Amino acid sequence: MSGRERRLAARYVIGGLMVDVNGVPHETLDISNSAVAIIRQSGVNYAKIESLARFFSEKHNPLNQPIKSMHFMMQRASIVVFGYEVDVPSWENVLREHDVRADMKQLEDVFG
Amino acid sequence: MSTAQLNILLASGSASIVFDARPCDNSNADKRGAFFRHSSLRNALVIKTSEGPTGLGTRLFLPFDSSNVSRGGMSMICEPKMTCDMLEASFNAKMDHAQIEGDVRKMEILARTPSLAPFLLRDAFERAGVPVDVRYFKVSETEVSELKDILKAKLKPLAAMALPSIGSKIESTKLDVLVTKLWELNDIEFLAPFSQALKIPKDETIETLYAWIGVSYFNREFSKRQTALRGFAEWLVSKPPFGPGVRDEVLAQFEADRKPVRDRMRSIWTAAGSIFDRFNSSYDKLIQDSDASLFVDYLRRVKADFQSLGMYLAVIEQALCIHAAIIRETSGNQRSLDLLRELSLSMRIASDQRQAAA
Repeated sequence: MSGRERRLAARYVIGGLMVDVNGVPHETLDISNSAVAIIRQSGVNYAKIESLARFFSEKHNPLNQPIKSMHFMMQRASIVVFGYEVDVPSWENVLREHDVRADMKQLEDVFG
Repeated sequence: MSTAQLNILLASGSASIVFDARPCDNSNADKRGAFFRHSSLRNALVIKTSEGPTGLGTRLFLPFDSSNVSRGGMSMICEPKMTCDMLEASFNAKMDHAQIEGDVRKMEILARTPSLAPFLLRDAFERAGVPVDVRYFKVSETEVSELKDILKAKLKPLAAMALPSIGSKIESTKLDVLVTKLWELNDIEFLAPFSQALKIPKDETIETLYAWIGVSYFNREFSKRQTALRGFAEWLVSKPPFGPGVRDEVLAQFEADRKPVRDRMRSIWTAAGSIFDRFNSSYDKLIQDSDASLFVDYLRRVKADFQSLGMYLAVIEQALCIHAAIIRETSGNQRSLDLLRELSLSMRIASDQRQAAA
């Protein structure tokens, strides 16, 4: 995934969604279907992914997924962005369902 | 508000507009203590009503017979800033200030919170550090915990705005810590970078961010009422509930009473929808483009929106309670017509009061 693709893809924010990178749990800031922004931690070499990464969440089981492939995209003072792939065909639906805006429904014009 | 309306609201059990502060009777097993300590206030019920120049009032109702509120009682308006003297003046009696100070503080919180929705009210008491028996709030621990998690999670993009200022000090789960601090809103030093980044005047940071959390909560509350409101909207334009031979003036009056109710309900539902649209689009932009400009703009009006939504919710709940009472009556009978007339009148009066205040 390119930076441009990340900018265009729908982003989701999910409470409690973590990602394990090189054996270190990281909190996610936002996530799209193919890129995830995580909170940077000192002492982790983000340029070299050494072990199998995975998403995990204590409260939402469908989010617990191994990551098939992961590549470094960019790094800022406090966040790191990775492109990734998971083997879940409806992954974006899973993300949408757990997004913090899932309960924020547009009111319908019931008075027509 | 008419006595009939008041009785319907008190009996409705609608937790977002009626807070029952009466202690349980002896048959109830929970044995909770009194909410208000002073004996004069022990059997009080608190009601959010659509009245007064701001359109949202908080009325303390003291029934003559605590086991039968329909027998009437006396009421007083609670204000966001109250004194013991004001309470004494309402009761026309001298009271021990040390004894009523705590109750006055509770009345202020009830008046300041724009809705009596149990989660919001319980949260308001917690934030104010005023200890109360939580069993008075009709919300389970599980529901409180779930709602807190949902609302806290929404603060994640905001908390992330403070990250660059913290830089290399970031530690594991730091974002979670920031979110919790942002939820608690009790650390002025921590909030300073937010005031700056979000261009909120320093002395308004806590109120502004609390109002943002409140609007987010209201979005759920309004969505939950959509189905009931649709039923009410359909009733307001349905075929009049009269048999053949009804007098023309009865029919005309019925329609003349339905119209202002429909107009008012439509207007507040649309206004609430517009608030949520602005709220959601500014939040979406923050998440999707990491662009806070729209969000910063929105924050300038969020406190007013929070109060307006409280008022809209009170009007909607009042109307839904009255509508429920109307449809319990035999279709088209005199009592149902009177209830509709009173609802229509109260909406006209509220509208006139607001116009006069403006």
